[in-house]
Amino acid sequence: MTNHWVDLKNSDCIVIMGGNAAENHPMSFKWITKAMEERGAKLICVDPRFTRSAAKADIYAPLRSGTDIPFIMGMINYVIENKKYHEEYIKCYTNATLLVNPEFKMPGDLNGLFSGYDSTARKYDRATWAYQTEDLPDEKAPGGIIHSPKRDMSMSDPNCVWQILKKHAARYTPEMVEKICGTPKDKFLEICEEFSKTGAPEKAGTICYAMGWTQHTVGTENIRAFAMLQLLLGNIGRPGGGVNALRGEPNVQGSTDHALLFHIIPAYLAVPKAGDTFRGYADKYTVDKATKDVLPGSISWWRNGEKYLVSLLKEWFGDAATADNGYRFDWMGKIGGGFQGGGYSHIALFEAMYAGEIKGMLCLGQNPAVGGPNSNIETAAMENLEWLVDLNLWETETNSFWKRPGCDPEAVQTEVWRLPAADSCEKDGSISNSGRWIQWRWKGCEPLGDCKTDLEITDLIMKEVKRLYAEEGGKGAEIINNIYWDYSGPNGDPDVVEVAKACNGYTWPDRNKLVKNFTKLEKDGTTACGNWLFSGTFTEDGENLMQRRIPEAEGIGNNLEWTFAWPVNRRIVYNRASCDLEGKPWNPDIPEIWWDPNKVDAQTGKPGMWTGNDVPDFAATKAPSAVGGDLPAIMLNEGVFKLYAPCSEGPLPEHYEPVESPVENIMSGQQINPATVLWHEVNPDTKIGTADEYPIIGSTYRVTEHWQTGIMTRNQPWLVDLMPEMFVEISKELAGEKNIEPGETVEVFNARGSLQAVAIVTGRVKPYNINGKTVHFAGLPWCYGYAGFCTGGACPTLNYSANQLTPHVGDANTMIPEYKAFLVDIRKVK
Amino acid sequence: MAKAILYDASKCTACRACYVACKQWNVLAAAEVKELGTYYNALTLDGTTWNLIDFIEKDDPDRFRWHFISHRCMHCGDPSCANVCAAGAITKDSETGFVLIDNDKCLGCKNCHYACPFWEGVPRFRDEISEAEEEWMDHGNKVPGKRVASTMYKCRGCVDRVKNGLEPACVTTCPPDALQFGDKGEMLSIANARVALLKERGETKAQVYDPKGVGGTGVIYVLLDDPEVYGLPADPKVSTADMVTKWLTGLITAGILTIVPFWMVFKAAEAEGKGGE
Repeated sequence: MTNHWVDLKNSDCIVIMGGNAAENHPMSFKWITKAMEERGAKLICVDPRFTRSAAKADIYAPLRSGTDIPFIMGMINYVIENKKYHEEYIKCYTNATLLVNPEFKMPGDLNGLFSGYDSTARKYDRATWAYQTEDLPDEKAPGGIIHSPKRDMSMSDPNCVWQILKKHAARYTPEMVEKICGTPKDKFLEICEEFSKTGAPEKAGTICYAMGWTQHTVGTENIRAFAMLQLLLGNIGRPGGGVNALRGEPNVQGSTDHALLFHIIPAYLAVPKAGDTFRGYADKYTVDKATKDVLPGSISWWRNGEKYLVSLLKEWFGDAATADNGYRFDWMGKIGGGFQGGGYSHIALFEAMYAGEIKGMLCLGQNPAVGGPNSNIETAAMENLEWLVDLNLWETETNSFWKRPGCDPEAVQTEVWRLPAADSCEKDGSISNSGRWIQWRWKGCEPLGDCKTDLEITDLIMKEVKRLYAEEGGKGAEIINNIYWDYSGPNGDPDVVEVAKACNGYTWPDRNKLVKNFTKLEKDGTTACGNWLFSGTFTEDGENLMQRRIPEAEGIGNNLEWTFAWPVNRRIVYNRASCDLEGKPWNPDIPEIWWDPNKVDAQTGKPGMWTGNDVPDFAATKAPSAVGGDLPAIMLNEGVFKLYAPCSEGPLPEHYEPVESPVENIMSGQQINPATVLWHEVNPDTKIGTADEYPIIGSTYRVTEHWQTGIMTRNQPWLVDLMPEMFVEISKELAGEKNIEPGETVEVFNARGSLQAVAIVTGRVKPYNINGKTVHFAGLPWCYGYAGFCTGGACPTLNYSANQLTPHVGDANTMIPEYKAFLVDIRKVK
Repeated sequence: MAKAILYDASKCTACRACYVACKQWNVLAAAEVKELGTYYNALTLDGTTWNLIDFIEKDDPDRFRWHFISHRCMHCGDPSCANVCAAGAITKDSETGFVLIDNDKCLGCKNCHYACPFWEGVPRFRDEISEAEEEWMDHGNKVPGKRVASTMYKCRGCVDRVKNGLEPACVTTCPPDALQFGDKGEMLSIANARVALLKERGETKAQVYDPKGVGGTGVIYVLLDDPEVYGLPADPKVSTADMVTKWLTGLITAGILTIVPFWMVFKAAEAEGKGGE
């Protein structure tokens, strides 16, 4: 979230799209309800089916799963055509004014492709997407020169982003939206009209999305499209505004912050690639971020990246990391192309496992046999493992994959260890919520029996690995032997507080003095820090700010003394944009921050500071009138937000159909995302079906009553009461065609598998009219399996997991699987 | 002063945390259900299920609706169940106004069930105490109220929590604050203000449900449509006129009672002057 949960109450219009906040993030409705009741906020819900969120909405519109881009680009077109945008905001705070290479061509010109496409590699050469730049002097930049994008403040140059965007968006007419999305034109226009009211400077609208947007082959572009809409309406950096990912697991924000992903290392530094040197890697921050595409005066905060890298390496390798040896950057793991050049995402790892290239798996905090896509393939892949170590509270489908229906346990040679883990209530530590609030939690009770916390287990494994390397040596022994690993507390056991302090950072080599925050981290090896964004979670005196629980007495909901939020306790990021050019809040009724010309800076004694109800996301004393004093996007080189931003499949969102779609793409001749990795071309067992065989759109989702793969909740009888069995939600019309009665067991099947489910025949699902063709929808919860107290149905061998049906194909940037749009068919079970 | 729980159907998101909170606080076993093709499933109020959320789909001319409603004891101002109770086991708590069953006194005759005008009869019979409850109590833990086999059960308004300064468990847990708790007068004024706001915003059928025929209720609803849409009687009365028929049905079902409670019922009803409404 750019904002946070409580801040939803400040919104004038809330869109729930690509998510189902009422069901999957019930607490969000505490604040959404407040906004509706107290501010008269409107709630809009756009979803393939009528959900519990839709039930609370002022306006609901259906859309076909996988067509969010045409819907949002249509909204953008409406905002531009009807001049509903916040003109001053986009002119000054976005890259609308920046000029792009005149050679750049768009899908409207090239039948669905941008310029620079290589169809063999399925990749773009981005040269024609670049800005037109000019070299300008800048004394702060390495070399004294910045390569600055050219700017046309009149926004009339045909190559400026504004003109490019206008031209691109004009193709997404309301009629086109109706034909592609199946959303009635009048509903679409009603939503456009309502949400675009937030383009008024004093109004703010927000978007609550989740996996309904990310889990598509165009997931990144779905989100970016709405981010662009928010920029056009001036809604970023504002109380009640922002782009808000409601995260589906209480600590998934923490897992991202600590880089449980393959493309980043802790706190969003890029993962090093094979061949990278310390200097080359560090210069991507120190030099590139300070000189490339930088507008004059842009803060471009990532130029500090080298400090964070060096401090991280000091934390990892301690005294062994010195300036002379590049802080042992050479000891870091680095990535190559991944299996078949497809990276190291979940899908790629399981494809590699399926091909026999992965020998062992340490699995914790997840249950891929239920949660992974194309689970018949993924569980088959596990049979190729020599060993599997699984940390969990329960017998899960993953740690009992050899017991799955249709599998002969005797034929499986994998050695499986189950390590009993502690529940989150049985351990101390922090969790980071969607709003980046890092909250400390205290142990409620001791773990049962031999159960141990993840920290204890990790510590035991690491100490044993170190002992073995010390005694027996082996490949990379020098690295293992030199890893700094001392997080013991007073009693000698691993102490989560020590880990947390390491994340905060401290001075090196004395290790005694905690740093105040990341502005005190250095690139000369005198500080160590495990995660620069978590720096500031402790005071220099050792007070754990994550333990604070002081509700605000007055304010706008930011609750600055309730725990700690990264970065530096800031609750709404990019909040410079909440003010106009002079530093006055766009909405004086909910002032986030403002420029106070009289407030005196204690350090310099000079007047003039940013102040307010939040930690300013800007240089504290940089006046609005200073050079760059109006560039709010401090994490971007440009200093302005990007309406136009190169991604794998282009610099602007363009509609492509899901890899499995019932219809042809009527926007262009390019049917699917041109940059997506097609695993079925690598592995024929990873099947993709056609609309002739499987004409119905399938989609998966969660229900309030079960959590993720259901491991925690399917073992909880009260929750099983509420959602006892696998079901499929279908329309009355489809039920009629297939002669299916409500409550009847049906078979849902496609190219990859088949499962049984109870039919929920409901008016909440309606067939879509897609350009004259009737298209049906089948909605499937993905929380059931074959292990535990509740497996999801009367017959555990037939109805276990919706993910038996989902395809092995993912987003072109993040590689998240396309769980939300695929093809199935349905028949009665006789 | 009488207390009230306010359930605002316009705010409820049907997350059903109230269901789980009730089960947890009151140490109630899970129900045994089957997916029947709705989100409601086969759940009904029973001896171990004291509240639940029903889901109602309605195709209004202007828009499709999915209504949610909490089934639970209404804690009537003039409770039919108490009026007909053969054993005098049902009383209104003087401090809170909650209607409570004393399971030590309850004979399990089901009179109360048949007399209740709400949710097909709120008080439900339990023939046995579950192993889970026995085990819980064997460890020296307490349960709210008492657990006696072959007696009637229903929501107790978490009277034990309330008397210790807490809200009922369902109210405490409700994420969107669709459940609120307080003095009845205060809850009514919140409900009235909410309905006024909803009407102003185009919800023409929004209304407060606090039926006078049963002396008002300790559970007040804010509804978005007529009570019947939610399965609520539009104008419930204290159950006396058709009580004999209902009671006889109950008698046959229970099959264990004698003339004594029958006599006691009429004696009690006459004494209170409620024989012929």
